[in-house]
Amino acid sequence: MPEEFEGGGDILEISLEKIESLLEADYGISGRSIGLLLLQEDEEITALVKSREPENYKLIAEIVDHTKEHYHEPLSYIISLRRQEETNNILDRALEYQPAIGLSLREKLSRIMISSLTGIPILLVILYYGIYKFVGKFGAGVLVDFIEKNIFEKNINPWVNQVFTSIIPWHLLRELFVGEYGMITLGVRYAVALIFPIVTTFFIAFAIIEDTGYLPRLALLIDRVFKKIGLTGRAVIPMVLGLGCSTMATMVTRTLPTKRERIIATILLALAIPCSAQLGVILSLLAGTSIGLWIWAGVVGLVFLFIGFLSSKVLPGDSPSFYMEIPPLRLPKLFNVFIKTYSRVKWYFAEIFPMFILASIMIWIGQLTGLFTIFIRVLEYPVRWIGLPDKAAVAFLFGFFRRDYGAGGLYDIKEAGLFSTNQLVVACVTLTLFLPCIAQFLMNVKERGWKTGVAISVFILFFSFFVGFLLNSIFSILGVSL
Amino acid sequence: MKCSLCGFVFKEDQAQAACGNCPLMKGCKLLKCPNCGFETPPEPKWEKHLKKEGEFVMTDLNVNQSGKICRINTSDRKKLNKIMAMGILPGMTVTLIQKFPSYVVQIGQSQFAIDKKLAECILLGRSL
Repeated sequence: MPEEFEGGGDILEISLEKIESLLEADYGISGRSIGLLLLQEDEEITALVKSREPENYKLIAEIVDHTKEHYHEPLSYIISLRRQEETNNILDRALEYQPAIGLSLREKLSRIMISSLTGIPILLVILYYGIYKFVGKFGAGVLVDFIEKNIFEKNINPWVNQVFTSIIPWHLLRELFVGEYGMITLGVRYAVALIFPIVTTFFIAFAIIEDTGYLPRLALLIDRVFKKIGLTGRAVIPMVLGLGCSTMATMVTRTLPTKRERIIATILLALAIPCSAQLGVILSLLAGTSIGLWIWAGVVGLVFLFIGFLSSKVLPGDSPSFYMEIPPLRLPKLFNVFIKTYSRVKWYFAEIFPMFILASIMIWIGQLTGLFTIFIRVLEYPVRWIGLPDKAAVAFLFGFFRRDYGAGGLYDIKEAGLFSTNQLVVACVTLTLFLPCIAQFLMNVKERGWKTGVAISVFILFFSFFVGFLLNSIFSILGVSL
Repeated sequence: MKCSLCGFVFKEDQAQAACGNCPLMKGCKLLKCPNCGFETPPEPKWEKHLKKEGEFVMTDLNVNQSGKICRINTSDRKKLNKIMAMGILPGMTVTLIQKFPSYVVQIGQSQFAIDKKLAECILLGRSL
């Protein structure tokens, strides 16, 4: 019920009329709307009116204060109540609604998905088929094999080698294009044969999951766990996207409401969330050893929770609250999935393809000047401490240029038969935790500022080798040989 | 219970938090309102029994039960704005769909997931 003013009439309406009559400038929207926003203490509009109504602003502010005094609750609350009353009045006259008897199939399915008893098995099934089977086995296995072996190794590489040998007589310059780390034989090959199929299959899976409306359900399912690490269920979206491309996901952390959540999410994305390219290569690296895969997943998961928990204790700020609309489940439209995948893959390629070429060039320069040999020498020490062959240092150095570049490097070492299974697991864990790629590092700096961006990277550099060292020590102390 | 000074509704175990490091806490039976700090003795059992008709927190609802919202009980503007944004306002009827792992409520034609902290701010009236 509107509160009555002494003279009869409603104080909210009277104040609105008064404000409206005092507004002189043109705002592009009605005076009443401006008045309502002023009464709700909208900061932007208040500042705007203050600058445009130098004479009347004082009077307006007085009216707002006077109105506020009449109510116990904030005016925004009172106005919302009025709006709701009005909406209900209109709806009562216009809408006839018959409540459905029983639950629809869609609703039943939704209930199964959000109950913890049945929801978690469903989540595991989705992860198994959506990520492991589709992205890991099909994308990173079947498709990569086909493009790599049938297209590149059989047709493109020999042809390109031949062409460049005949065009460029100088060995050094030729190395830039077709050598071991050449722009075409390494840069283009990695981008097209390794990354393209993995990222595309991931984005297809993500678009399907997104369009069904499963993500909000996942968010509410996981909210309690995420609260322990200083995040809310809302953070599940950047985290799942991080399994696709952590650089893109770091940008998406903007959707999180507080700075504290954004920093925690950035740390976790940089540290413990492998991107699809890296995930694909690691899944295929560990394909032969299911125990190794479990240990890798366990250690990375543990680090994720532990570091999240620690940072939620260390970083100042209140623990956040979680609320989210749960839209009805829908069958995804094929065309939408296609368009989404297409535009994301296009965006991704436009971003990363130059990075691959740049990385190839930098590796070439680094090798030419001997700078890389120094870096690799330095990296050989920590690599030795975690019990890996010296050659793995190269993979770690490249890991900074692209995360999957590094994993791809491990792949080559594994193919050459230089790893025992123990070493393989240690290497995969360390590389997953190891520094984010250049693109993500730049994104961290851009989103979080220089200090935080660099601090996160330094922490990760030491922490990843520490975990690798710990894991290797545990293996050797317990005498485990996988 | 309801603070007799400011009208804030809180649970008895919430009251302890307001006492902080008070050295007299041991053996002190008074309950301190977390909102205004006013101290009152706890309600006797018979009074609680009589009050069954009054307001209660949404988290006390059983799954699949409905209730009419009578008040949003928070002094935190940010929380209030979040709750209002979902259209959770006095006069609306809510149905609790699930309590664990998160609270899920149906309001009008929409469903929302909210955490315990927000759910505790929503007060319902017993008689529908």
